[in-house]
Amino acid sequence: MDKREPEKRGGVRFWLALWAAKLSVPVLKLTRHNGTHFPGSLAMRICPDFLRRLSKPEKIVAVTGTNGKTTSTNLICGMLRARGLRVLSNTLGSNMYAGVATALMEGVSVFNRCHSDMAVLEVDERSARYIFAHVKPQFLAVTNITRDSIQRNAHQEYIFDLVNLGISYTPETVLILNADDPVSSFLGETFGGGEGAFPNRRVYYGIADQGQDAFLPGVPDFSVCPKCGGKPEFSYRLYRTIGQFHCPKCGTSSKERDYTGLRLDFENRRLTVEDRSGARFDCPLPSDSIFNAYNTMMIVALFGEMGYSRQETARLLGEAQITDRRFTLETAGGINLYTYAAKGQNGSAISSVFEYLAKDPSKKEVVVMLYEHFGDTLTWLYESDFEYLDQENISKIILTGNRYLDCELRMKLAGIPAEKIVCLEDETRVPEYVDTEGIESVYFLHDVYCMEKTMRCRQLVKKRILGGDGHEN
Amino acid sequence: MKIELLCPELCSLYGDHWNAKYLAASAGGELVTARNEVPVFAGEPVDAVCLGSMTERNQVFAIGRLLPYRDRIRELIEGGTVFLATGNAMELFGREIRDGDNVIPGLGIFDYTSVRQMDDRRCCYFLGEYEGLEIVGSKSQFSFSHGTEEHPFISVKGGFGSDLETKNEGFHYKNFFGTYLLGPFLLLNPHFTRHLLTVLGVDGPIAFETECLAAYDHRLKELKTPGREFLFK
Repeated sequence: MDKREPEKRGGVRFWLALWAAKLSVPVLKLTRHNGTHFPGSLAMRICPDFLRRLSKPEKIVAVTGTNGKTTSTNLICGMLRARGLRVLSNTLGSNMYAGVATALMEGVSVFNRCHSDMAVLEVDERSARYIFAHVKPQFLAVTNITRDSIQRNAHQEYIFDLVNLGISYTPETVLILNADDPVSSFLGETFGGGEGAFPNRRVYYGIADQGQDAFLPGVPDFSVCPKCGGKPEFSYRLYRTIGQFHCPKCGTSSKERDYTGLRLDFENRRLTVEDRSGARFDCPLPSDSIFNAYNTMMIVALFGEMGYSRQETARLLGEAQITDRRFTLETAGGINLYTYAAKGQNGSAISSVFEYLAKDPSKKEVVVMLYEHFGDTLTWLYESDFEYLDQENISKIILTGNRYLDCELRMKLAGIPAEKIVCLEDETRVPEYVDTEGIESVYFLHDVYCMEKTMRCRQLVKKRILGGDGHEN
Repeated sequence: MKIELLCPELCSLYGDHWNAKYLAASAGGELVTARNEVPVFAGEPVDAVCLGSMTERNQVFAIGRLLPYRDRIRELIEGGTVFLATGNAMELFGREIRDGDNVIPGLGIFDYTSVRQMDDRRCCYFLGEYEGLEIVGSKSQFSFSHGTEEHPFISVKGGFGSDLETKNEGFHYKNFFGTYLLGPFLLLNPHFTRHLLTVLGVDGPIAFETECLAAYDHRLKELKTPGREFLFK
């Protein structure tokens, strides 16, 4: 791919592709197909460089990273739309090449005139190199690069290189990077920093030491200095290996931040931010989890760089909501019933959720509903910190899903007492085993592929707690 | 009994460190690791050494750390010490790792060569056999090893072997077991773990044997489902 290839427009194949893709949208709707990538895929089959020729909004923001990109993209879109902007996005669809092409195609007329103000694109890390060859965002915001499922991403170093390759196609893009992530903070330069920095301007965000006691990860995402292989030392960590490090052997250290979250107040959902000028201001936090606090900091940095005032950013964040596909809460008979997307196969993401719920002081039960959608390498079970669930205030752990036996073994290896563990092959029996009294909360941890099953299960538990039709009197 | 987990910070990418933990728990042994990057086996006898998957850049660091102890490693292997190398850890013991024009010299204990292609990753679920024991697992490889045929470890029934042409997976010499199978190999293969305990002279059940066998049987049944696909992207 030639990085300097000029943008092309038109051509017979392109017009055919555009019209066919446009036509496929109502056809998919009529036939009740959920084809969030099909129109783009069809267009590219007719015109392989469709994306290059397609008109795009003048302003494009891309969001990538292992964890948090869907949540962040949704928040950014919501904030911009609340400001009255016409924003294109692939938040409901695929984050790969065809999904991005579909989203951008929907923003142009049949004459290839773009009628949107902006695009906010969630970009799959592996697809960055293909997408950024044809789409040049003004800003690329990166959440983090951590371990992920092997099937999808192999390992974090490989993903780092692929995202960096994507960045090399778009040298004018401003990179919004997480200074506290020792892996992704080195994007835009060769791994480990130093020589070979890209021309992209880089802006760093992060959160100062909150005096918190982050659990130690069994398999860290960052365990050796990328430059010399030495053992890094952390001055603090807020979760996993997210924090500030330095290498005593070669001196490599975390990046200096342009936007710092100085104080997190989860109780009141407030975040005090200091920008590079030293100005301090308060922002609302859309959630009480540390990983969403980082997503919020990324958004604060992005909006700051886009020219929004601090007050406007804070106001828009105040109206933003985390999408229900990741986190929901219902209450029945005084018991909080949470659902949490726990991303099985991603040891880092699931461990973060384990840590979050372990630190919730309520007396609780946990239902683990993980189903393997693509098959299963099982290594993730041993990259995840099930040990975090060995807490006194977790009275029961109910395991179901097609890996319930492997989960049982892993739980026992983690030291969780056998009498706390319930294993069920049939997930419809879960509600029978959830206690309806003596607990304050139930967490339903689910993969993104079993949302409906989880909701159904919670509804049945709610019904048991309330009796009758499941409605509060 | 001492089980050494080698370079845990470099070589536990896919939870491979659990092999040493599980072996130690099953054998009632002590799990030991290096201090100041000096392997325990360098100064005292150990009964088994485990190391696992790592990133490609970490392979270079790991070779650098182990190179000063090459002769000692050779001596231990020839003397019958158990070595278990999972994932691409097996490549460290070979002659070299080739990545395009870049040639990374290995420890040179064995004569095989590994060839890496970062733009051509191959993945599979795996079913195989070692001395009548059915072996299960999964693989994700940027590289393949050539020249392992003389001392194969597992015969392939589903998935692919040490390279795409062979029906053999891994490398087995005396009590050195090298395999591209990833992560918690011993936890996924309780029968092999029991075999390894016998090699170590330990009698009795493995840790959480009932749970381990139940999960293994469930997975084995899945892998033997007619029409089961083994390759994945």
